[in-house]
Order: sequence, then structure tokens, then C-alpha cells
Amino acid sequence: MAAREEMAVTIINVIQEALVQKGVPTDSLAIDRNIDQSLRLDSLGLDSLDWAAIVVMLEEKTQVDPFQRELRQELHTIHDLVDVYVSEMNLAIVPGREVK
Amino acid sequence: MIGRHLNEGWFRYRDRIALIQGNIRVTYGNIGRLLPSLVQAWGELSKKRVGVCTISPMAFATAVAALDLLQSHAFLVGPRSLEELARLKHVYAWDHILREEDILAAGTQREGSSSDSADGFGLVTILTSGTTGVPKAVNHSWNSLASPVRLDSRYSGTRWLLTYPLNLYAGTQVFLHAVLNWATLVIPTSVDPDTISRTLKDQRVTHASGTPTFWRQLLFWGPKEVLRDCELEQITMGGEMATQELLDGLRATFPRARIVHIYASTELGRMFSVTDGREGFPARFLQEPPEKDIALRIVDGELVARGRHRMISYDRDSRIPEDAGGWIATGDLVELCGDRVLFRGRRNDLINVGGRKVSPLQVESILRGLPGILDVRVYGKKSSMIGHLVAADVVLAPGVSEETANTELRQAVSGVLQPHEIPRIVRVVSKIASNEALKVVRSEDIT
Repeated sequence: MAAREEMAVTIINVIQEALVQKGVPTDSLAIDRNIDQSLRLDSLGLDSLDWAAIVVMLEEKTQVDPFQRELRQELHTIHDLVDVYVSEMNLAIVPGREVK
Repeated sequence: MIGRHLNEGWFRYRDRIALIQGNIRVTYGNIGRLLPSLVQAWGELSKKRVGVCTISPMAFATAVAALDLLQSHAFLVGPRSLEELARLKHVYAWDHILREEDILAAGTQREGSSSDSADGFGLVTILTSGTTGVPKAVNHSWNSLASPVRLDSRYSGTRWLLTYPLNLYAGTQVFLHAVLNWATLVIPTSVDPDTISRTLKDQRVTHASGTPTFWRQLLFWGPKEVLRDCELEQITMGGEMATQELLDGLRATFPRARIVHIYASTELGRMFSVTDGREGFPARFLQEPPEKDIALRIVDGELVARGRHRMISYDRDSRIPEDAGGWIATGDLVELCGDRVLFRGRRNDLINVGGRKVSPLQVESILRGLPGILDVRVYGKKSSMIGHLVAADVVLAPGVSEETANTELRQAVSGVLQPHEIPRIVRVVSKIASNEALKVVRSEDIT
């Protein structure tokens, strides 16, 4: 699986987990080949505390947390979020940079 | 004090068992006969600063008694690596380090015939179990450590379970209670609930002391049929808040035992005990001191106290955090609820969620009441987005799935806790993590 697709699945899984815990229906996020990454983050019914938890859980799975630095890009969709994580991963694997 | 006590009294109680650990039995005679040779071998340590690094109760008992007779300043440090010892030696300017093998080797030298029974006034320093940052070095004398100990002939023949490390305040208290009363100290070979249960029963322990975390785990995991047959006369808890569910659970499992929870700290020493089976302490203690020279008050939601068994000083630091009247802030948050003062956790343990403070103890008490949850630890998990999040480790009852627990937990507490108080990170664990003092660590994320 391509790195980007793998990251997308990881992120959607974690989001799904957060939605299940919150008791929000997750049908719209069903993971298949056609993951709808254009879904707007603010349409998911998750509040700032839920997102903070998602970022912590993603750090446990990916070892990176892009939000530790000031982000320049705006985040609107799952696609944007995947982009941020993929570029953070790419930064993390640059030789000489310490990977947590 | 401890040196003189053992040195002058051992012969009379020479056949009485001082320590039991597994198959090992040590009599007061075994200890007393070693003292002269240790005092002789360690002559140059007199009035010096000495790190005592041992976990063996026999080595501990003989070493602290000999150092007390030599009027040395003993630093109790427990087991440490050589690197850590070298660091501590530098930090606390020790003249010498006594490790377990040094103590045992000195003890095998030819026994002396007698040792001077000078009125030893050795100092003793305890490094706090502080769960955050550098431990504080708290200076006591053996007299100040022993001052809460009740000497009573009814303790003759009693057997005291030691669950605390001997180098911490609570460990010294159990040690001194047993030794000053010429009673027997029973040291379990491990703190797993099964071993503890069998030790309590097989060694006919009469007095057992442990943190609420220790007791909670014993109640959950100890074999019921073994616990039922124990002959405990007294159960003592200290070091953490004793919750009502735990007090009730202990009462149900050990109906004949007197259940005591003690309020003490390394700095303040023992302050008071509560025996009425209710959590917290009676509000009247704020007006009528529970003991002579002990005083309590609440300032900004924190318990502030003045005690008679307090430390002498912090080591190499004359600054004691107190006001002119000798009051010391305890760091324990409390709330006056009717006729009771209830504990609300440590000030340092509060979790800062986006500027709002959450008491992990209050969240824990709610989670503990949920079906399917046996035990819980609530702590702060660092978050780049919001400072900290409330996280929880939970031990599930048999048959409860992780997924169900996660979802049901969130739903069950959603009307009870504020959104920022609800644990957002929930991990299912088989056992709640605790530190060397058998206290739950809440102030850090120990993943």
C-alpha cells in the first residue's frame, strides 16, 4: 500500500474510533478503496477535545505530531489532514533528524 | 535511639524472631550479636554522612542501628545502580556508601564482645518518593521517626507485614513499630496479591500496613478463600486517599480487623489516624486537634498542618516551606462536606485541560462506580493542542470487551462529568501501575 494511502487508513481508523466512542454513526466513513477524503473535518461532529485526543492517538500510532510545530497550511478536510501527516512523516525520516 | 534500643535490649529478647522473609528467620539475638562488630568495623564512619543502599531487612536493621550508635548521618536510599549511587554521593556529599554486600561482609567478621552504649543520636535522611522531579532529602532523627510509635505490651507476639520499602517514611514506621516493640516483621517475597494473601495467612500476620493501591489490588486479585482465613487484627492504610468503596470492601473481607487510615507525610511525620470506617476525616479535627501539638486548617482548598513528629530540616537547606507558626502546606486538596473533610487529590496532580483544572481523584471515583470497571488510574496526557487531556487506564471485569468499555464509559459519564473532565484516552490494562512506594502515579504519563 502506498505510504499516503496507509496514512489515510490510519487516520480514518482513529477518527472512526473517536466517533464510535462518542456514539456518532460512522457509516459515512466506511473504509474501502474509495475513502472520501473530501469530508470536511467540521462536519464530523467532533469537538476540540476530540481532535486533541485524535492527535494524541495518531502520535501513538505514527510517532509524529505535526501540531507540535506551528502549522502554516489550513485544515479543512480529511485530505488536508492526511497531507499534514504525510509531510511530517517525510520530515521525520530525513537522515539526521531524530525519529521519536 | 534505634541503635541503643537494639544494643541494650537484644539479649533479653534474643530468641524472639525479628524478621521473617520466605524461609529466612532472623532473631533479635542474630541482630544484636552483629552490632559490636559493625560498630568496630565502621569506626571511621562515626559522625559521617553515609548512604545506605540495601533492600535486605537484615542488612538494613543492623546497618541503621550500627550507624545510629556511631552517631552517623544515614541516608536511606534503597536499591540503586552504581551510577545512580555515584550521582547521589556527589549531590548529598556522602563520605561513604554502604551497599548490601558491605554490610553483610562487615557482619561476618569476628563478633565483638560488646559495643559502647553511647547515647547515639544519629540523623537519618529519607529521599521522598516524589513522583515528579528530584526527590527531596528530608532530615529526621531516629527520635523524630520513632515518636509516633506506640510502645505497648499488647504488641508482644504481634506480626507486622512490611509492604513499603524500608527507605521510605512509611517503611521506617512499620519497621520501628515492630522493632521497638520487639515484635516480628514479616517481609513478603513479592507484592503480588497471591503471595501477599498466602503470607498473611501462613505467617499469621496480625498487623498489615499498605497504601490504598496495595489494598485495592489485594481485594481484587487475592484469593478470597485465603484472605477469609487471615488473622488480621489491624489494617492500616496511608500515603494515598482511602476511598469509601475501599474502606467498605476491607470491612466486608476482614470483618474482625480494626481498619485505620493514617495521614502522614515524610516532612510532617504522622499527623492523625481515622478509625470510624468513613473516608476523609472528621471536620472537628480542624477545631479540636486530634492529638497534642497537631493542628490542621484549610487555606485556599489545601490542607495546611503543623505537626509534632515533623522533620528537622531539608538536607543542606535550612529553608523549610512554612510560615512563622510552623505551618506546612501539605499539597493535599480538601473540601469541607458537612461534618467531614474529604480529600480531593494532590495539588500537583491536577490536570490542566486548556486552562481548566481537573481532579484525577474525582474522575477516578466516578469511573470506579461504573459496572465492568474493576480499577482505574486517571492522569494527564500531554497534548500539543490543549495542554493536557484526561487519560485513564482501566482494569476491566472479566467478560467485558474493550470496545464496549470504551463506548459505555464515555456514555455513562457524559451527564456526570464536564466534557473536559471525561477521559479522552482510555487504555485497557491488566493492572494499575504504581511506583516503588506502591502509590498510583498520576502526575506523569507512564506509558
